[in-house]
Parts: sequence; structure tokens; C-alpha cells
Amino acid sequence: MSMWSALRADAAVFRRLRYPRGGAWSKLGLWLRPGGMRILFAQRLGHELRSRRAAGARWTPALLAMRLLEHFATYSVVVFAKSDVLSSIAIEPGVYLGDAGHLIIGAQRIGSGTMIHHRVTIGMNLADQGKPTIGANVWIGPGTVIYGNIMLGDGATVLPGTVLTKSIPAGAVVQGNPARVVRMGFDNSVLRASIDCHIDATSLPASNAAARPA
Amino acid sequence: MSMRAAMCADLGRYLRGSRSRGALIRALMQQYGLQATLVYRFGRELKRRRWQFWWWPLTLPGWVVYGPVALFMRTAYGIRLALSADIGPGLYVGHFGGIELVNCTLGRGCSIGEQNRVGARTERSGPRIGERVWLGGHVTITGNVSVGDGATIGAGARVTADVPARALLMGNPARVMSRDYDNSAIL
Repeated sequence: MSMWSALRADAAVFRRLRYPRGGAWSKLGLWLRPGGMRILFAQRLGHELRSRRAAGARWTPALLAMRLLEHFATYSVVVFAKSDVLSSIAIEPGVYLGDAGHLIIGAQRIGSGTMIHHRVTIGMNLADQGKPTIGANVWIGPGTVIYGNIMLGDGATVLPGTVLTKSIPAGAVVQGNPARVVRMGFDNSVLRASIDCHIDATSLPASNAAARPA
Repeated sequence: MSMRAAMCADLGRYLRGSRSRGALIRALMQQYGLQATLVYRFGRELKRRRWQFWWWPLTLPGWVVYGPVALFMRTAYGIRLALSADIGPGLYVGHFGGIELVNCTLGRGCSIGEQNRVGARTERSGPRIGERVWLGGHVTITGNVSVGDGATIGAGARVTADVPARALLMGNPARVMSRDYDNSAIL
């Protein structure tokens, strides 16, 4: 999938979250308002460039122009969003990154439908530790640190302020520093439907298995 | 220690033994933490010569330069190394964003990460941190506490009590995970 179709999928996610009631300005505001969309643009541009270079592409004027654009996009992400999202990460289309920035992300892979809020650090640049792999539809709250060679299952939920260093299965909810699993088999689609992140273990529904029709 | 020697020690942390000119230029251009540290060293030198009036022809224009540049480091990179912090030579700032060092003492050869908050503006006596201490990301140390030499504070820890030398701490509130942890590999 090319960079532009991935960005279109991201734009659909951002538009749904920021402008739930739609409106004429929602498409324009997506690009005018700073935030996660710009971080994703810089990252996807850098990733595209990396993969083309790895495939053996030569430095043509078009590729050099792309490199220059990536440089300025990355620097503006540093200055305006205080974020460093490595271009080596394979980010699947349709991802939300926090509009408030402060993201230091060096994961291996980020699945589609994942929401990462602001002030999050993923992966540490230490010699002996690998990078985390994040599945699809994961919700990661603000102020979270995730590091080590771990795997976050599909649909996992990391509540705000968690420091997570161990793998968690699909549908798990973790909270705390050090992290503890507080729920299993949780469906986080309600969390991912909104841009709000004022949530903790006490305000989570006890179990959504009961609410689900038989 | 002079400003120049402290700056060279900081630079040595980023170059990691490399002697090439390209590595030097790359570190100065791309390492925002290094830029902020060098600006901090300059500001400390100005502060040290504050009452030496025979330096005023040089220090007064120096303050005019330092102010806007330090403001840029704070707003653009989110790195605030306040002049009230006494930071030893050889500081390594791993990432950028949300870093604030105020009213504290750091020994030589420390490493800090993103979202670190050491000391508070409202406290008279801040944390005292020893030599070769490694602070991970999202670490908060406030209050009148001391951290021993060679200690390692894991990512996200919230330190509220004194830390023995060479200890490894993690969690909120921070607990000692190991009494004898060698952080020379990650420093």
C-alpha cells in the first residue's frame, strides 16, 4: 500500500475523531490544525523513502526533493509537536497519534486502528533490549511508557500513566507503574470511538460481556 | 571547571569516542539535547561572572544573546535547563520534550531522558544527584532527596526518598529492584 492511501485512511480516522458531526470545514481543519496528522505525514514520507532506498532506488532529483521535504517535515514535527517517530516503524494505515505531541516512538510495527495519545514513549534505545510490537486496535493512554522486546495483542488497552515492560494478550487492560492486568477480554471500541482520555480502571465498565447480546 | 572544559565533556558524551569532523557536525546539528546543554553552559558562565563588573562589556551582550536562545530551546525542543540547576560536566540528554531541571544538583557524567522533571521552582532545596546516574524517560524527582553515585532510575519512576549508590529503581513510588546494578552499559 502506498503512502498516500495510508494517509487517506489516517485522515478518515482523524476526521471521525475530531469532527464527529462532520461539517464543511472538517476536511480543511484536518490539515490546518497541527497535531498527529503532521507527525504521520513526516513518518510515512520517511518510511517511503527508506523502503525505496532499500529497494535499490538511485538518488534522482525527485527522490532528493522528497528527502528535503522529509527533513523539513521531521524538523517541524520536533519543534511543533516535540515528537520523534522513527521512520523505520511499519505503521499500518488508519492510526491516530496524539494531537498534543510529546511522542517518542521506536516500535517495530503498529497495527491499524491503534490510538496513541500524547506524552507516550515506546521502545528504548538500549543495546540489549528489543523494540515493542503493537497490534491492531490498541488504545494507549497519555503518559505511558512501553519498552522492551514485547508484544501488545490486538485490542489491548493501556490506561493512562502505565509503565509496561511485559507482553500482554489480546483484549487485556493494564494500568499502573509497574503495570498490572486489571481486566481481560475487554472491548475497547468505545474508548477508540472518542478522542477523550479521561479514564481509569475504576471508571471502566466492569465487564462488557454482560452487555453483549447472547 | 571552565566553561570550555565542561562543553568538551558534554560533546564527548555524544561523540562516544568518534574523532571525525562529520560526527561532530552531525552531533551539533541533530542532537537537540547537546544544543540545549551548550546554551546552559554559556548561561552558567554568564551567571558566574554576574558581579565581576570588569566583564560586563562582554556579559551584558552575552545575556542579550542567551535569553532568546534559551527561550528557543525551551519552546522549540521542550528542554529547560534552568540556571538554578548545578549540572556537572558530561551531561547526556537522550531525547527532547518535557525536560525540566530546576533547583537541583547533578554530578558529572549523568544521562537524562525525555519528560524528566528534576526539582521544582517552589522548593528551596532540591534533589542532589550523584555522578554517573542514569535517568530514564518520564522520571520525576522532587523534594529534598539525594541520589547516590552510579544509581539507575528506570523509565517512569517517581522518586520520593533517598536512593543508595548503584541501586536500580523502578515504579511509582520508586522501589529498589537491585542493590548493585552496573549501569555502565546503558550510560
